[in-house]
Amino acid sequence: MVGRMAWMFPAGNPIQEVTSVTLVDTTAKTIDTTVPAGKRWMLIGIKASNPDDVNRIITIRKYKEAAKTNEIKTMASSTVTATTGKQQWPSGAGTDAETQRQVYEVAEAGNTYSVTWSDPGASTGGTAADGLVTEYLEVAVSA
Amino acid sequence: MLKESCPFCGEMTEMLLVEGVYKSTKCSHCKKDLSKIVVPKLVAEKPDLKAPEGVLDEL
Repeated sequence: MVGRMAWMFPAGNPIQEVTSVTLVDTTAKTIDTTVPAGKRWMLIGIKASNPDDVNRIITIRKYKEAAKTNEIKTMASSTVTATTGKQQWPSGAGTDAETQRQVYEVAEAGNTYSVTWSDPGASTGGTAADGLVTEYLEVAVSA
Repeated sequence: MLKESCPFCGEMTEMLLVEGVYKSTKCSHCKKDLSKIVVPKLVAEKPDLKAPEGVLDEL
């Protein structure tokens, strides 16, 4: 009942999950974020930076489970400019343009958000202390 | 739970939460320490908030 009430009214514990991202020369990168057991998320936004010195395609996908067997959808995918570019959901702009609001994305336990930086060929690589930020509301749900 | 791909072996390995930030750690498959990878750090460009020389001379 508490879980249902949580979605009838604005609720949930706001979390901003910051992840350091290191990109290496001629190598693709994937970071997976899985909704823990007993939790339900309302995704607010995802930001993925490109700290490399060449453009990379950054793709955000949602899968049903951590094993990524069943893809639910591609949420954003576009070329992100070197150093200054950002891939952001829900805007999907691939630039430093502002993100949009009022898109509701509910994720169940096991759902996995997978962010992939494409292999760009030769590059210097780079690391960003806040290269991936996932912002969501989290509530506990009973089985 | 966060996992990242290891550039050494290509497998997915868990990341470590350190002071509120998820960071690379030793790969659970090939045992290479991903935190030791040396690449340039991204430094966000910040605008120069100080007026150029001479601009404020009239004030």
